[in-house]
Amino acid sequence: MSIKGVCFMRNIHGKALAAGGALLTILVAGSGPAYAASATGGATVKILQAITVTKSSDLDFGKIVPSASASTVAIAEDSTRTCGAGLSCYGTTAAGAFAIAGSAGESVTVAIDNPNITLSDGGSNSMSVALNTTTSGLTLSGAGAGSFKVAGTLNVGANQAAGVYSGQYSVSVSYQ
Amino acid sequence: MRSIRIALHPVMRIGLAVGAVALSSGVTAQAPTSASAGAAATILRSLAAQQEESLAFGRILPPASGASLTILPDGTMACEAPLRCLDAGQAGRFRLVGSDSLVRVSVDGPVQLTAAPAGQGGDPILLTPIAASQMLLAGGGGTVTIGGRLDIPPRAMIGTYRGEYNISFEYQ
Repeated sequence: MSIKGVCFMRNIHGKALAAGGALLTILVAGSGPAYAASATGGATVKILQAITVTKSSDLDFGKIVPSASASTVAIAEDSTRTCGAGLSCYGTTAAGAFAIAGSAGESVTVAIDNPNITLSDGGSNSMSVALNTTTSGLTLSGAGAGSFKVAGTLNVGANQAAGVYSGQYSVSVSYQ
Repeated sequence: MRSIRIALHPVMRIGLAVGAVALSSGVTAQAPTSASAGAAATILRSLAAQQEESLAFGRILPPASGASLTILPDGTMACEAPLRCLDAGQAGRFRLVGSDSLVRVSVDGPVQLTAAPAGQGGDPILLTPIAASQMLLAGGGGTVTIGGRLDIPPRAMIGTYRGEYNISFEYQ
C-alpha cells in the first residue's frame, strides 16, 4: 500500500510540474521577445490633377461715345455697365470670365497678373484699364471645377479717338 | 522468553569515536584550493514601439514621365522640377520605449502605395523607407524618424495613395 501510495504521489507531482512548465511557457511567449519590437507605419501621397484655367469670356466694355471730358466706363462682375458722366454707352457688355479645372475639393488661389493694362487701337491711341476680381481663392467642386470673373474700369480720354481698342491681361490660378 | 541486550564496552565506544574524528580530519585536509569567479546579468526592459506620425508626402503634381520624391528622416523634402510639391511633407515618427541601450533599426521595403479607394488609380507607387540603422535609447526611450523615397510611375493617375511598411527594433 505504501509503495502504491508513493507512486501515486509521484504521478501527481509530475503532472504539477508539467502544468507549471506549460504556464511558464505561455507567460514567456505572451510577453513577446524582450529584445525586439516591431511596428507598422503608414505612408500617404496625393497626386493632383494638373490645374488649368481657360477663358470663358473676354472683358467687353461695349461701344462708347466719348465727350469733351475724360470719364470712365466700369463693367462689374455681373457684366452690368456703369457709364461715366458725359459718355454714351451702348452695345453688349461682358465681364471677363474664366473656368478652372483641377482636383476635386482642392482650394486654389486666383490672381490677376497685370491688373493695369492698356488698350490700343493699333496706332498711337490708347486707354488704360484697371482690372479687379472679388475672387482671391475658391474651392473646386466635386467635379474639380471652378470659375471666377474679372471686372474692369476703362479710362476714356477727352475726345478719345474713334477706333477699336484691344489689349491683353492674364490671370494665374494655383493650388493652395 | 529471555531477552538479550548487547552493550558496548566504554573503551570500545571511545575507540569508535576517535576513529570517526580521524576519518573526518582526513577529508578536510585534502580539499582543493578555492577560486572565485564573477557573474553578471543585464536585465533589459521589453522594447515597445508605436507610430506617432505617419510618413506623408503631401500633394504633388508629377510630370507625365514619372518622378521620384524623397523625404529624409530629418523631414527635408527633395522635390526637383518638373515635379511640383505643394506641401512640406512629413517624416514618419515612432516612439520607442525600452532600456538605455543601442537598438538596431530595420525597415522593410520597398512597399507599394495603392490608390484609395481601390481601383481608382493606375500603377502603384513604390515607397522605399529610409531610416538610420541604429539608435541609442536614452532616458528609457527614444524617437525614430523615417523618411522615404517615392517612385512615381509615368502617367500616374490622380488620387490619394496609401500604404504601410514594417519597421523592427532589436537590442544590439
